[in-house]
Amino acid sequence: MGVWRKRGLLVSGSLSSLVLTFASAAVVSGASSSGNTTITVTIADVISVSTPSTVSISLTPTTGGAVSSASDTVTVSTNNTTGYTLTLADADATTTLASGSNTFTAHTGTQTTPTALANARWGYRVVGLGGFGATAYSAETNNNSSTSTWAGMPANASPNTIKTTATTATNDTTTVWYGVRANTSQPGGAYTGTITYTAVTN
Amino acid sequence: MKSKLKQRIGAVATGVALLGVIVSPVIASAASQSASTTINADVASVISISTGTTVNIALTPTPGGVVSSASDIVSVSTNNTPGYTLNIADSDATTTLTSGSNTFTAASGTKVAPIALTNGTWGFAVATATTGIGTNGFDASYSAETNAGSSTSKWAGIPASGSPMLLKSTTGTATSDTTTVWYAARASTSQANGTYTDTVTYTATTK
Repeated sequence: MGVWRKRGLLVSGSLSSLVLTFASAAVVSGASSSGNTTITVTIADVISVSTPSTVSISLTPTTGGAVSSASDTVTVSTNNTTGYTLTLADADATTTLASGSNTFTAHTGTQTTPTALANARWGYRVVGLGGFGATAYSAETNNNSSTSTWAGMPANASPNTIKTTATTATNDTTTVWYGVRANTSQPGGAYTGTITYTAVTN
Repeated sequence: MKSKLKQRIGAVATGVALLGVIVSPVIASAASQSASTTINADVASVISISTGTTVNIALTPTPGGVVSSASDIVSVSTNNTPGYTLNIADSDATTTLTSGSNTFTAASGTKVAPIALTNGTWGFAVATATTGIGTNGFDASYSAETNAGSSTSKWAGIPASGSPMLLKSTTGTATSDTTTVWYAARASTSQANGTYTDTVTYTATTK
């Protein structure tokens, strides 16, 4: 009888071991561990600006003076979500259009208070900017009775802001008009000057 | 006379016989029994994982698009003799990198058929010979790219959290076993500037 009890205990112990082993195996198969990594991609802001590179204005002067004008288109693209600022200025400190020793002088009007051109003056205008007003403007050719208003080109050290945006831009264009006025005292010739547009991300 | 002798012999014989009876129980007391106990020690499998926690990728986009990449190192330790499996997935159901309302979309490539990134997409990759990864089309090796305009490296899109992808399967215990996981993005100038983020989750499980 005592032997049977001992065998019974042994059998019982063996079953307990098996149960524990199975339970333990279940824990083993489920062991896992997780880790996180944050992926960060930083996109730099980039910007590009382009222009046709040349604006040609033809003018046949009259005694009282005539105005001719032509436009330039400045195109800006940027991925900057806060936009860009576009400025213009003469390429150097000399703001005249020159043909040898002959010149057109930069107009005295300003963006805030643009005025009509006087003879032997040249200037720029941007519709919708400052005092230029929002009225549409089109090219003038030898216009003896021009009333369009213009600002003088600043020297390179003092650029004027002609546009400020607040978001990304894809081929965003700005039309800049250039006008000259001359009477018959203006020597014939090809007068040139270079202006610089600068687009900067905000 | 003879009768008395017989009586004495009989008495002695009886004494010997009694002695024999008395000695016999002493011999019976040497019988024994034994019992055994089995000691079972079950050592649970444990596993741990660590990552670099942050992968930073910098891009200066061009009109045509450029690729930049960087790596993460996943380290796993386990005492599990059959080894472990390592899976990767996004930490949630959204697999984009986001910066406000701007995003990078997960690449359309897969582990079996990874692809070169297109603009506005991001992906991950491991070396093709990674242990136990199974059938895959990844490159033999990867190295960091910085604003690469002609990148041809191949990438897979990160799976959503519900569909983790197997990266590695081992067959033994591991002590700080590392797996290098590469991440990349491609952007053109139409990609808004900013800092785009997302979180991926690695899960190491004992077999």
